[in-house]
Amino acid sequence: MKTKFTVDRPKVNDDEIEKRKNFDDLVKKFKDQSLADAKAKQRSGINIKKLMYTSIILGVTVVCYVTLKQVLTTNNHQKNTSNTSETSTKLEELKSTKFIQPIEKKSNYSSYKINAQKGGEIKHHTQSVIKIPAKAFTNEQGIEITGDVEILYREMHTIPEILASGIPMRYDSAGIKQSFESAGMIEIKGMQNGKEIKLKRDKKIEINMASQKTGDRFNLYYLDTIAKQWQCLGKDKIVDENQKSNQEKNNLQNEISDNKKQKELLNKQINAIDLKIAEIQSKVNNNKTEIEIPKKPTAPIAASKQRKQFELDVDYKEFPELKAFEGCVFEVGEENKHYSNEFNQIKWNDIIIAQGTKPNQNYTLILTAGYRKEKLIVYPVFTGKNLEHAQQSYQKKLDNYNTIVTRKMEEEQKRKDAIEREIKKMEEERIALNKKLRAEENARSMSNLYAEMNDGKNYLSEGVRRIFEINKFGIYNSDCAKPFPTHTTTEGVFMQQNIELIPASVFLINHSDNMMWTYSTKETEKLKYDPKKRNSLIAFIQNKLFWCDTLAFSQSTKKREKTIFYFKEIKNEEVSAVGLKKLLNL
Amino acid sequence: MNTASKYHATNEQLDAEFKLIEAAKLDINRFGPLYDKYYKQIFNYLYQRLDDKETAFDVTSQVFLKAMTNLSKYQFKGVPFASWLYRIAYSELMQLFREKKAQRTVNADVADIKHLCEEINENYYDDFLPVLSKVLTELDEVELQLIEMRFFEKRPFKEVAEVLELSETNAKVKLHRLLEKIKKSLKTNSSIK
Repeated sequence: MKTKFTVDRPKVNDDEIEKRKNFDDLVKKFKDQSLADAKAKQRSGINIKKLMYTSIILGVTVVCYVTLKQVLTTNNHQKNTSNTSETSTKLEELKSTKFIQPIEKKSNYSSYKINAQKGGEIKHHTQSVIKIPAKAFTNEQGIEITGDVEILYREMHTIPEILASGIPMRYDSAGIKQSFESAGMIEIKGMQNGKEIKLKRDKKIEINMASQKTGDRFNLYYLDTIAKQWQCLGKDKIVDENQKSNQEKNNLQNEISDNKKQKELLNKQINAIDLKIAEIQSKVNNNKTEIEIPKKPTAPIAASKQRKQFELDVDYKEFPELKAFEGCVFEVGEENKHYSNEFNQIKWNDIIIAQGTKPNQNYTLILTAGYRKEKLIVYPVFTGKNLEHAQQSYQKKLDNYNTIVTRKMEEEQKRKDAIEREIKKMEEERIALNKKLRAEENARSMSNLYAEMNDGKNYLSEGVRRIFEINKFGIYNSDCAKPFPTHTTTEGVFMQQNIELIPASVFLINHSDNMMWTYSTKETEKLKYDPKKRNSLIAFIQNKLFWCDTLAFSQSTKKREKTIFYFKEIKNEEVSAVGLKKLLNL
Repeated sequence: MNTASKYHATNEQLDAEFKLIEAAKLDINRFGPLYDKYYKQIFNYLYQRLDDKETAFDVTSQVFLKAMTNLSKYQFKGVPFASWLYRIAYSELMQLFREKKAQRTVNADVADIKHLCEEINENYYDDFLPVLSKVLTELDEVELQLIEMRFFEKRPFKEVAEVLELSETNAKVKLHRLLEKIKKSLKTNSSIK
């Protein structure tokens, strides 16, 4: 249809425009349409599921491909650079599957318990205050939550902290690439019984964030992790911290001092318990009663008709154990293969009895006749009435033996139980004290951490409070978007000795202005930086960090449009907010 | 057509508007103040480019319905909410023209045409109109929007740039080149020289 050109057409007057407004009708249409859309979504649920499964399979395939590619890249020292763009694309895909990639493995959330019905006020170690209204939470189904809830909260203020958190700081707007300069970022979430909870729509949590960056150039942003972008929420309210009374500063000093005292006390209590436990445990090892157990009596054996027996005149002083066998005869054992009737014909000059092969069971009989000497293994056995007497005597002794053994065992078990009860009680006490100590140490170490990361200053010493309200859990950032540098453009080539690195992300750090910009692999083909500033680069490859320090950056090799930056791997122990702070000297 | 710009706003006004948007995100019934505020502006923008008044009213309703439906996706970028509404309106118009459900129309007052002539250092004559009409209606859509917004709706460059998603400098450069192009086309097409 051809464009029509009209001149001086009569205008529609304001009254007519005003009359045609019909907001109620519009709301009705909106509600009808929403209902129709919801029904349509329900009908297409199965298709959506199919699409989801397809996406998951595709995602897994991409991850496998990228992992394989990465392994091949590391092994191939002579890698052809023409593969770079293909690998980069895949890494980009991998990156897109993980929007937030924390570099630091250790979780650094602080956990606070709040009664959901009463609400409450949380004082974070950075001096930030979180005000939670009463009856503010619901579960996934929208049902109001009662009882205690756990609030998980963390703050990130410095480049190392932000870098370690893996939270993206890109904010591209109207085609302009920008990165955030943060005046403080927070993440807050709520849990009950291991499940995430929600904030009611009409309830707002007030965040009173201590920030060291003054000035009103910062806007408040919310990170939409589904849309993978920051949403600007407007301005936060700023309260100048220096105008606050010294009272609060003194309160903090007292709090830290109390914390130290409490920690010392807890350590002493734990040490005392450790000593006591060790003492009790030594009792367990020496858990012997004074009750002596007699030797277990040996049951009398009846003589065998098939075997030969001897009657001997035994000196019971020499063999007191044989007294138990009084009235016994000695039977030739089966093991005496050399024994024959001849033994009974010979008149033996001397017969000696000695210990046998089985103590208390058999004996060795040494028979001597002139030059002939024979040994026989014999067993004490009983015949007739002697056997009856021996059995009665044995039974008595056995009963007595069993009684003593049972008494001893009962006594020892009683002692063992008492000791174990005592140890258990001590250990419970120790666990409780340790828990308290960990909480104190955590609070203390976080205070130290912040002091360490801010040249010994805490958040009360300077800065402002940025006050804002949130109506959902998530990540919020007080930021000022800054465009990427434009001074020098180069194609970045990243090497570790002879190996080319293909990072998923590259962070350009301007040490002079304390700024950081994130480049995707593709974007490093046009890496822009200000050569007059002190710059360094950090490359993130899967779970490893590599650093091209300020000196290496300034000494990078330029080849036509390309610049080769040499990196070294950051040690595992330095891959944390504190480690990066020291390493980067920020 | 003289449509004085109500587009620009102070930081306080932007903050107040931001609060209205956030409230409407939570409860769509609270979209009312935004509807009242921008209804006339959006209608005029649409009617400026359409031949039929009724179609303009219908499309205006459609624009606000779309805005309400997609409000949760709206991101505050420090510019008035109107710029987002204009983009929806523009998209709705293009849809209509593609489907040939409406006539693309350029509406101008003589006073505005004279202003355009001054910009290209040409004197205005009555018989100049058919030639100008031919030249303008042969422009592509973005070029036409630039002329309409700058000369027939008298919008400041900042606003033109934001609605057309250009940088302000880029909008100025494009308009400068466009005026040169129009001047050249007029010379070839007209007998006024």
